[in-house]
Amino acid sequence: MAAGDGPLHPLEAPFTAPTTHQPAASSTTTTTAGLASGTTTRRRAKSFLRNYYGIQQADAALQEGAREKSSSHPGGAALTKADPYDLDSHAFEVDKYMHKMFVEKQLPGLVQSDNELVADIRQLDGDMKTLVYENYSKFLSATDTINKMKSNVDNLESEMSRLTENISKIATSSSAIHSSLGGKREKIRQLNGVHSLLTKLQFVFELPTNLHQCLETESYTQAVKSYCRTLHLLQHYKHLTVFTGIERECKTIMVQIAQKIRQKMRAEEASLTEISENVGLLLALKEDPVALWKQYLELSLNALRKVRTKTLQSIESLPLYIPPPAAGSPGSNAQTPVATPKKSSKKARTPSGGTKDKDKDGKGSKSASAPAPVPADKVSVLNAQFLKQVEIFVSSFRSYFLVTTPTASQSGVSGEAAPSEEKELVESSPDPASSAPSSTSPPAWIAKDVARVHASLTREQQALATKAIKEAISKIVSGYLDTIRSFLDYPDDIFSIQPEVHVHVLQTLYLGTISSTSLCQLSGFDSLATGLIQNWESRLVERSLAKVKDGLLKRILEPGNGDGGWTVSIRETAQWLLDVFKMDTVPFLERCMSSEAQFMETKEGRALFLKNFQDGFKLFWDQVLQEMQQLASASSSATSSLTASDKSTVETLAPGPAAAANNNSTRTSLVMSQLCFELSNATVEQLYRAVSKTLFRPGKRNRSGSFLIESYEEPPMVAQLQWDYKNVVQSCQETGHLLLDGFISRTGNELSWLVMDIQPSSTSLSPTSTERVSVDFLTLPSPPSGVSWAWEEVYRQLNEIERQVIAVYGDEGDRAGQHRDISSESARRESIFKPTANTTGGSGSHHDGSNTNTNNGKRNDSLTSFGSNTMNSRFFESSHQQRNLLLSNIDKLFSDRVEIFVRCQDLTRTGILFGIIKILLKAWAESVRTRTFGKGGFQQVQVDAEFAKVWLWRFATADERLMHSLLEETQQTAYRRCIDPVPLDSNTVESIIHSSER
Amino acid sequence: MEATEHRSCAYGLRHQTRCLAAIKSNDGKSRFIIGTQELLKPNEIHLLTFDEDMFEISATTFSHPHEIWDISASKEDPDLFFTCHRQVIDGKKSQSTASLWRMKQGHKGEEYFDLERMHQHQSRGELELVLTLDVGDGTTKKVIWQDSTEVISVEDSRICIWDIDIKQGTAKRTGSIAIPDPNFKFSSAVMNPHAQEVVAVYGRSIQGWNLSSLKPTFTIQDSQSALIRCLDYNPNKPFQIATGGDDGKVRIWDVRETTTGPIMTIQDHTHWVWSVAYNKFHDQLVLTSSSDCQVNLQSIVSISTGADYKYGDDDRNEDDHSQGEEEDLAEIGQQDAPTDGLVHAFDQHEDSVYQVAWSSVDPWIFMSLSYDGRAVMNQVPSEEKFKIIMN
Repeated sequence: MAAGDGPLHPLEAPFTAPTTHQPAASSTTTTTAGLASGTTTRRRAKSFLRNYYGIQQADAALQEGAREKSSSHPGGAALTKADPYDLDSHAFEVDKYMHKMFVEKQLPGLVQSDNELVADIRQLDGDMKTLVYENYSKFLSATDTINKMKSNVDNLESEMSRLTENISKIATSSSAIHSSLGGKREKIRQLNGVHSLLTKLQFVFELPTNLHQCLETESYTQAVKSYCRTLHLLQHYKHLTVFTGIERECKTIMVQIAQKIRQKMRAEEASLTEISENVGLLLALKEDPVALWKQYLELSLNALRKVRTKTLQSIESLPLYIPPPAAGSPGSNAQTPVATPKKSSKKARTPSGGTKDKDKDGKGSKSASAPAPVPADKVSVLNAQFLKQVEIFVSSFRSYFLVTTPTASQSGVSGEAAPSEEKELVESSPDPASSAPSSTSPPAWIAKDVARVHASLTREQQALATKAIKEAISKIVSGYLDTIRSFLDYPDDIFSIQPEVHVHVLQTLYLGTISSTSLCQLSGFDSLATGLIQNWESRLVERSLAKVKDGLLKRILEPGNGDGGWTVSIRETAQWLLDVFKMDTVPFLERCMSSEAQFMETKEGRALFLKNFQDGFKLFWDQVLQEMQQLASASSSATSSLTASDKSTVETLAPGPAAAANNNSTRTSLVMSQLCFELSNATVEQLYRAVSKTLFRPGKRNRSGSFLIESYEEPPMVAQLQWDYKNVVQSCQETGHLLLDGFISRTGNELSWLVMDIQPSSTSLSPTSTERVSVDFLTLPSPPSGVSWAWEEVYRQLNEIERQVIAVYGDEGDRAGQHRDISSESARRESIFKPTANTTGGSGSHHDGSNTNTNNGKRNDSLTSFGSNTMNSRFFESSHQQRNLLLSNIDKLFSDRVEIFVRCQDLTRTGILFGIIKILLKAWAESVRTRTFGKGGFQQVQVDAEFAKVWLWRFATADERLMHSLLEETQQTAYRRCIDPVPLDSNTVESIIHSSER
Repeated sequence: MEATEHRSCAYGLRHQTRCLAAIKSNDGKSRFIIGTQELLKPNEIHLLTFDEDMFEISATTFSHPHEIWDISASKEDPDLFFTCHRQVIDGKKSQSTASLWRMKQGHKGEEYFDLERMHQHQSRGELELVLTLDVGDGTTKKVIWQDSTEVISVEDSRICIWDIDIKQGTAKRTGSIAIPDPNFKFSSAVMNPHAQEVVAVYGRSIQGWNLSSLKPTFTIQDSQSALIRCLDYNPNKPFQIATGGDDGKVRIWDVRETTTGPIMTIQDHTHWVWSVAYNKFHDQLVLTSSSDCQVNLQSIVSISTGADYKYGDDDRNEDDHSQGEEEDLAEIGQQDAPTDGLVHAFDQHEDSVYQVAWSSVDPWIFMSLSYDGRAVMNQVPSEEKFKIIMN
């Protein structure tokens, strides 16, 4: 040991030093042997302690590191790592520490540190002692335990040996008993076999008698059962005469029985259950299955038909829906006077029972007992009496004819392998039998032996049967669904529907679907029912939205409450739409959704409903917009059937009904366009938000009325609605523009017809059309007496249109004076008139400036200016005229291309009216080009243009320059198209206009 | 005044002009005649010949007594044409009449009084009056050629059918059709190239009449909200007509479907459409002109005969030039199929464009004429051309 530790020693030494607390010993050099032994014991103790405290590893690692270091840099690197001055460190070196102490500290300091060290050492000592004591007590108890164990084991061994002995004894005696009884057991078994055989034989021999008895007592079921049970026996022992005789006898009886059964089955009053039962019996008797299933089908269908009529009769007087007793209204009681007494007794029994409980009650007692009217609603009765029967029929038919059960081979009736397509049916076939309530299911033995009684049909026959029953069933089911559908009426006022009723009907349907498994499997009953529900949902949505739509259109069409109210009424309409949705539609749909309906309980059902709604909502907008456009186009054709002049005069002079309607129709498109903009601006968004917040609210719904509680932190719109919403807003915008542009171009065209002297009408009803003859501009008197009739009329109509536009689109407020304010109007007119004259003069002189070699006498000869009286001369040199033409062409070259029929971007009074004015003036300019003027005609154009400049100014504030250039061009054209162009001077023109002042 | 900017060629007349017609050509050059409309100045007929190699227009001028409102060239004789001209009688009454003229071309290069036009190939010729259609109320606005012996004149309120004898210089009225609605005037008419039928527009309605029985064949009443101004009959596809109206829209109709509305509505103009013209060779190309100073080339391929016969388009083979081009282009490879819509908007005019006409010989050349006397010859953009040829 010591030798082994030897090499470690030099490094161990520094560790040992602090714990020994013998500074003197370490500092002095003693003999190696004594030191070695002393360090060994100490090191042991220390390693124990280290083990105990679990610091072995860390120190060992450090030692390794230290060793490596010291090998490369002896004494150097190790010290840098481990502080040699740290008492607790393994690298502690007493000498260095002492040296440091001596160097650094004074005597008191040394004494103090010595004291501290001593205290620490004592503390450590005490700790060690405590440890030792603790462990000692543990050791004592361990010793005790070991002692006890030792004594126990001695006992156990003897017990064990005794047990072995006993067991071997038991084994020997048991084998003895077994051998002695062996022979007798064999005998007993044989006897038993004989006995059962005898019993059977007896049964067989008695069979004919039994069967007779059964035939007499009409317990055919029993007979068939017995016969079937013995049949295979008889078959097996056919070669024995006795049995052949019995068999023959039995057969004759069975033929009789079969006859009887068939009779019974065919009997008029045979119920479906009986029929099913009898068919089962016949099947068991191995009747021809093909004929049988055909007959079965036919009979059952008859029976079902009967049941159906009966049920329908019986439910006729029943209410569709019975509200829970708590909310029981006298009205519903009065509806069913027959049921009232019974109902009250029922109520007494289940005073607090909910509707559902009652339904179940009703169903149970219904099918069990007579058609006594228990409180039940139509659909649940229908379900209980009819649907259930159908279900029974279908399931028994299936089990009889269509299913090859796994037990088939056992009964030996058919070894035919089940067609693969039937396999899934087979798997689920036990379900309907077991789940159906016992009271309504086929007789117990059929249910039990359902595997045994089924026909051995070939695959083709089976397919045929499947097809036949599918057809029959689908007919029945569709009849059923039609009945259900007939319960769901959609009155005109969709909101008058009590959603509870509908939901209840559908709910019952849904429940019926769930319980009729075989129907579902055979004829897709569930998908049909789901389709019905879907249909109901979409119709509900569609109807309720259609109602809103009708209301909306009615509001649009009904004559407004006069002037000024249009802006307000559009707002109102938008608000109304919002309110209707908030107050009626959405809560209504919410109510539909939130009732106890299970079909909407599922996630898919809900999603489907919402999808329906979403589609319906989108459709709603599309239809609204479409109808608006149709209305607009319809009104335009209506307008065109009347003369423009007719319309205007009647409108202004004596507004008759036709004119009023007409007036309205023009206005309608204006109003609708504004409504569209209004909708696209805010309403659509609000609606979609509202819908998203209520119907599409994720999580728990059912808080109807929550719509009204509006939180200010708007939740983001549901993602699936976002797209729709954007589309709808866009199409609203588009429609608005279309309607507005339609309005502008129509009005513009109508005004144009006035100045173009066209009467686009086949009916000349108007009183003015007789007094108005088409103007011959060639022979008009000169100077004109006043502004032409057409322009007066244009002005009148424009005022009217402006009034409408302001009423609908509002006045932007930049005009201080109302247009009816004559004084301010004329004042403005005065002020315009002069600048206008000046402008033309100016432009004339400008032309002169560019025209250096013009004749002096014709200063103002520019064709753009007719205001000057120096224009009297009609002798124009052709080159001069050419030049003027050229100049005006250059002007045109630099002016922007004018677009007349364009989308009106400026949705204000100015923009709209300017759109109309543009159309009017351009049309006039074009029409002047196609005419030839006399002197008076040209002057008339001059006067009219001046009139237009003065009076139409305020309609064309958007682009006055355009108006002026169009008017100038018109005059210029008229000048060239005049055979005797003598322009009037501006004073004359002014006085003519004044003379015809209104 | 001649300019070649993006394959177009302009010619200035210095007169106000309204009417233009393509005339038949025997030498493969595109020719058009233009009539001026000057109330107080002497009027002229300009015969423009387009020289493709030089890419320039040479003109021959003829004097014409009155202002010309419409012009229509014979389909058979390149020298014959009708003009509808108007004159004012005694300063009281204006009267329009239609006359048939024969052009007698003078020698080329004769100096015209205007020095500015020296660089142009300018020559003068004379017109010989062949006959005048003697109409009572003097509102003849249009003459349509049926063949060399039968023409149809359109007046404000009636349409007359005439038998003419060009050699004798006589005309005999054989029948007339009164306007169904006296509140309107006939604005235009066109011959059905597939049958003995004339189709006219008045007010907002379109109506066709059988020429022999003078019975209406179809009526589209109040087809639109604005007045109809012009129409053209699809030269290759029976029952299809195009109309342009005061709402700036061009509508394509199937005259068998008189109640269902137009089969296509095109809105690319911002003012009245004054003229619409099918391309004789490729009826998927429709030219429209409008008082918004634009000429639009539209493609209506989806309802044209091109849609019916995806491949063979035999009409084109009449023309040697395009045939040669086709061979050149065959190497370029398959192009995209032509699609519906505006092919190009030509905006070289500064005033209302009252008439457009396709060349009678070159399927890709057309001319448009604006009120300020500017006639512009344009070509179908080559991309569209390739598309049509390749498909």
